[in-house]
Amino acid sequence: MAQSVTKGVDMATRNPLQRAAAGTAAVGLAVALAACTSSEGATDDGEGETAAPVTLANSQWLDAARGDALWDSVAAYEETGRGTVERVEIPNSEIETRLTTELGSGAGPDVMFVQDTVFLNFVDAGFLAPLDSAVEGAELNATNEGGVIDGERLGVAWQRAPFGFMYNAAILEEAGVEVPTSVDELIAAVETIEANTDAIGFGDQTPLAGHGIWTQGIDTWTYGAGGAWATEDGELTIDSPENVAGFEAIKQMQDAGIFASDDFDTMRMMFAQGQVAMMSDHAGGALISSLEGVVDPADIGVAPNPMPNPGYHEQLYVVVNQNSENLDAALDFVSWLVSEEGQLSVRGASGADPLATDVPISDEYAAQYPWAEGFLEIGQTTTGRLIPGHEMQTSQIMQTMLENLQLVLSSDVTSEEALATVQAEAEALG
Amino acid sequence: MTATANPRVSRSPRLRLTRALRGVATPAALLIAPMVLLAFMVFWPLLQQIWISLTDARLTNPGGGSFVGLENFEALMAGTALPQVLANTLAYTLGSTGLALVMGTLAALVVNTRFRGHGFVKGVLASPWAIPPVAAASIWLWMFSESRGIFNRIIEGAGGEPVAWLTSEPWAMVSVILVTAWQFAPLVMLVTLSALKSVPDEVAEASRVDGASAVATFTWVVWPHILPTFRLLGILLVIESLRRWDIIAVMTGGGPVMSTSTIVVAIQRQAFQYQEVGMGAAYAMIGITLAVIFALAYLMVERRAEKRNGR
Repeated sequence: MAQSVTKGVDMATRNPLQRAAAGTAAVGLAVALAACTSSEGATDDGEGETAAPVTLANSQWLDAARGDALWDSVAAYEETGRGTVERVEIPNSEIETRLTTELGSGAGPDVMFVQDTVFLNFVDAGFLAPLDSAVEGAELNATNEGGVIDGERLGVAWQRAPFGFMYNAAILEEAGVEVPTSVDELIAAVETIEANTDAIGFGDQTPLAGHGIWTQGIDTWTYGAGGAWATEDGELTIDSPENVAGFEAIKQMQDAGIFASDDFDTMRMMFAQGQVAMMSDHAGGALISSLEGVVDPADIGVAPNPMPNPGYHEQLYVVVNQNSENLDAALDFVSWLVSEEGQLSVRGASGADPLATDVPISDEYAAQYPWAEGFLEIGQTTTGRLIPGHEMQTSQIMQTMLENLQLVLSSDVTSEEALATVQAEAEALG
Repeated sequence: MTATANPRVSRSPRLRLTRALRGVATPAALLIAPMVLLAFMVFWPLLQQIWISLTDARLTNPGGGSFVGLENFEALMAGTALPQVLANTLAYTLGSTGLALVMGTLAALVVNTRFRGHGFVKGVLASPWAIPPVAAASIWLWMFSESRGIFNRIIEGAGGEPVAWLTSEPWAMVSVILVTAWQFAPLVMLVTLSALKSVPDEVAEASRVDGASAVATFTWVVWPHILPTFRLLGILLVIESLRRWDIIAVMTGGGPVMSTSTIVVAIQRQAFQYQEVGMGAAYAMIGITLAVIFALAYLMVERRAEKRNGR
């Protein structure tokens, strides 16, 4: 009888320890049940176990107009029946910090699509799984060269995005100007366009705005002037005459007042709406304008930057999380991605960016988007953003570069003095 | 009559001890929870922060840095950035706090009077406090736009030259101070309004009957009543300004030429953009020191006021 009384006791009469234990058990049961029922999207691996979907993290999934198309191009992997994928969207402004902290804690997505600077940080921290087995047999092109570190492949190219000089041919025709091939011509063209049309002549934001786009944008003009930040063996050449000429070109444009005051995204949208005549952008921008804008894709042109030499490109890599609990499936996804089937699927959505293999754009695509061939051609000669021998410090050096460029534009500091300062500070970083 | 009839007589030393212990135990038990919470939520992270500032930790492995002593602090002292960051921090903190106190107090004085539409005006004036800072900064970004912003439209309409609000010195700092003060002012208004309500009507009325002007009534009657509230608001806004990152990040990103780089902008840049968590923590320690200095100054002022008032 006493036993039955104990069994029948309700929560209110249990002591606090018992109640806590009962509560914990209930929560544990609920979590276990939730875990058991949250296998949506999972697949059977053929051995009676359920394979989890491969999580794919990319800021581009959030891109206006083309984000969904890019996702569909990789989700086509599911059609092979080898596995499933799950979309992880991270805003561009957060992706580096978020992935770094997640990977640092031993967690994170299975596969990530990251910029070259982020890739190298991950390499340095030992976050990445080798991909050699996954890319065996794939016909990888030169865009993948940076993905091999100490003889081990840790990344494959997702896209290379060369920055070109994008223009609206209809506005240029209305204003009666040709595509500029020098800074002098650019300044004259902007003045003519703004005098004769309602459009903003040039959409590049002034470097005096503190935002990050110019830490890359500087390269357009310094590389364009024949400059480089270091030799191939890592000797810094920041204060070279060519880089000084690049700074002077930017100063000439600032003094002429041709830079826009609004940010890159706003100007890109205004270009798509036919309100901006010319701006620096990559093929993604041209595609967004073609898909979302009012501009006829046939009117969107691309030319080399109005400088004597080629500019720069962004490089994105596909990498796999070393700590992934789904490593085999993640590697299988990469294997599919670099296959002819995967590359053709991605080509349809990524526009004219060079991919991991030399998969050409279709005739249909080239006819629909005449600018595509232009970006592909520009991408043959552009240079990456990483400073040879100082790859890990590239972000910091380029931030210092931007601050010193701003000094040149807003004070009596000369380009020579500013670049000498950056050279000294970069050397001090080691 | 038995011995147990008198409770005083029956109180044994053991009972007295139990009661005494109970008297100590209750406040101790009440204090334990917040102390444990403080230890885990404040002191432990603070100790971690101090430790990280003495290491070369990187974001990829924040807990794995090697001990480098005071190297991070020495590097900060030797560089040119720290003096500018500190000057920017002081300008931003004192500028936005001062302006918010003035704007908020004036708004409180306005809504403390009765007029038609009083409730509506109070609601409108209070609304900036409810807007998320990033959204507020984005709205102001458009208003400050050099080519299409409303301010430059007005200036150009009046025949003036457009101003590069966010890309020139000192206008970039002026702009972020204005927006921050605009966000803080409603808090000042609402709290000051409560303080104003506590001013006895008969005292203010007596002052007016004695012929004091509105300014004199405010200075000699109202102001002493709201001064403690004003001081408290001051320190709260100073601390809040020291922590404010979002408005600057959205509007100027710390530029141009670092002219709006405050201590939190520097921390974010160092720890997350450059991934040097150890150096970022060193910046953070300087920020914490600044906050402590302001808090101590506030406590000293309060203590003096209490002494003056004979409390």
